[in-house]
Amino acid sequence: MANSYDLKKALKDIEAPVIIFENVSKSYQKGTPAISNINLQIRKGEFVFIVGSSGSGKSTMIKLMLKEIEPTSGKVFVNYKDLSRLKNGQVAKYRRNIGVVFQNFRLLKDRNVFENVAFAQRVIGMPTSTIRRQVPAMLSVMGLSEKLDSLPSELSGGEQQRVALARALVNKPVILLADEPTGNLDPKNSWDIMQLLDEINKKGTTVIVVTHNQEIVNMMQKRVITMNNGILISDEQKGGYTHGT
Amino acid sequence: MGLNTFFYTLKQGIKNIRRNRMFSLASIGTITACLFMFGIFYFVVANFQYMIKTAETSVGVTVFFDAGISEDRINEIGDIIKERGEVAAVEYISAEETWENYKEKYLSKELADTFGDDNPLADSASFSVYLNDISMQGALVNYIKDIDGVRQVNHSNNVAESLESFNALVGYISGAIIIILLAVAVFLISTTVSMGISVRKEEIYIMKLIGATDYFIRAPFIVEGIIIGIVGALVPLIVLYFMYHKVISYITEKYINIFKAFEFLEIGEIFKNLAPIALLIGIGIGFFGSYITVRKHLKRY
Ligand SMILES: Nc1ncnc2c1ncn2[C@@H]1O[C@H](COP(=O)(O)OP(=O)(O)OP(=O)(O)O)[C@@H](O)[C@H]1O
Ligand SMILES: [Mg+2]
Repeated sequence: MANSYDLKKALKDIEAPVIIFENVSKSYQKGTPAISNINLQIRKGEFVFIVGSSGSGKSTMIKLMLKEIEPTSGKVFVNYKDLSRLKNGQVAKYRRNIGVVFQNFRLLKDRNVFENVAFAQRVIGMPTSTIRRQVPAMLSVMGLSEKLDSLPSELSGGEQQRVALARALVNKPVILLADEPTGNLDPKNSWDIMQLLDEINKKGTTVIVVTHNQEIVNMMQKRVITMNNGILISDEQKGGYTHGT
Repeated sequence: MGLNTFFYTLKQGIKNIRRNRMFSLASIGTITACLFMFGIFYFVVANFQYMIKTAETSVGVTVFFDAGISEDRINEIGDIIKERGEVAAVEYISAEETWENYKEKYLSKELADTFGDDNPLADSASFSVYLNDISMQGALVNYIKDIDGVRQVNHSNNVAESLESFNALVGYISGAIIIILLAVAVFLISTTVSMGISVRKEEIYIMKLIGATDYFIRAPFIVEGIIIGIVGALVPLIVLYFMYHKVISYITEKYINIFKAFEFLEIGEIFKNLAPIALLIGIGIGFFGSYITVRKHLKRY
């Protein structure tokens, strides 16, 4: 055990990839695979866009990284862990290092904004005093200080998006997975959210963003991975939104 | 579990109950009915047991001897009887004592004086034998009858024995009814909890994806079951507590002839045992009902 710890530390020190897809394929039912033979490495501190047409397998990749689903073949490593070898009891702990914004927000409809974000901290057993301090601070960063008591149904799409982002970030994750965080936002709101993600990335969090927003991808000049029909067709540093849609 | 998590879990558990009011109430009602019956039967059984115990120490077997028996033989018989395991004590009552008792109880002074120094009960020296196990009375009587020098063995008309078999009958019937009610209670709790789970499916799924442990997710539902169990135990306990006195005085008034010989247990004496037993049963079925449901419906990952 001491050995594996040292290995992990060594891997971190040489900035080994924090996310690795090794020949990963995923078929949901019998039929065409959602993704096939994906090979991919993402280093700690990178900012990566995943783009591609609808149904090309982007969300599938996010779900694999969260161990929400298992690959049909191949291996996924995240945060220096082989996800296929995580035991039942270790999965929860693993997920605590990953912040996630779901494609459809997945806010709790019966709880207000404060509780939706606090939820992420309660789940991991944070003391109430910490929750009372950190949740309003995070919501104020998202510009939602006025909305603490609102229910999700009383918020605009952009506001809900920001609540989801606040929930993903409040525990200061090592990796942020955001599945279309600007899905139905106007350009101004989308841009604001992207600036936020960029700031978080500059503070050290590895950020992976799935998006259809061509303009933003082109403007941000980050690494862009393009999916088409479950196949990774291009992977460019400082790329643009060239394929698909 | 930290204090914060504890209170959060408690709050969620109560929230589950309130959301699912109808089924929670049905579950509480069933446990209440179950434990109420249990309490009633417990009253009966505990009091009968108490009565039997009192009967055992007061009701004895009386042994009379052949006419003209020697004192040595009487002592020998006493020793033989004492050797039996079920015998608690043997008391010798001389013919003189018996006569004195008899005179005192049944004869007026004048009438008694007419006997002078004669003892009409000259052959009525006896042993009073006390048992520590009333169910052995029949066997003991048969045994003593066969001892040389024993003329007659009297024994009480088996009140204690019939009490005991009645007690056993009450025990079996109540046991059966309580087991059926317990099964219904477990079923209702299970239904209540699984409805709660299906309402919160989305929430549970999100919790898992943001790193909640299985334990954290399951705990509120277990707490829900336990709270239902505790409430279901407290309600009948409170009702029974206030009922007990009334019931006892009602029984002693109505059936005074049967029961006047017996004392009833103090209420504190009864609740000393009944309260923890009822609470344990309530908590037990609450825990069991919710635990099996949570195991069935909340798959681990
Ligand atoms: N749970 C599922 N069961 C069966 N098939 C699924 C499931 N989830 C996704 N798929 C299929 O897998 C393929 C990839 O889906 P995925 O959600 O990864 O696409 P996507 O790139 O995220 O699309 P979008 O941009 O519309 O969100 C699609 O053909 C989809 O129909
Ligand atoms: Mg998707």
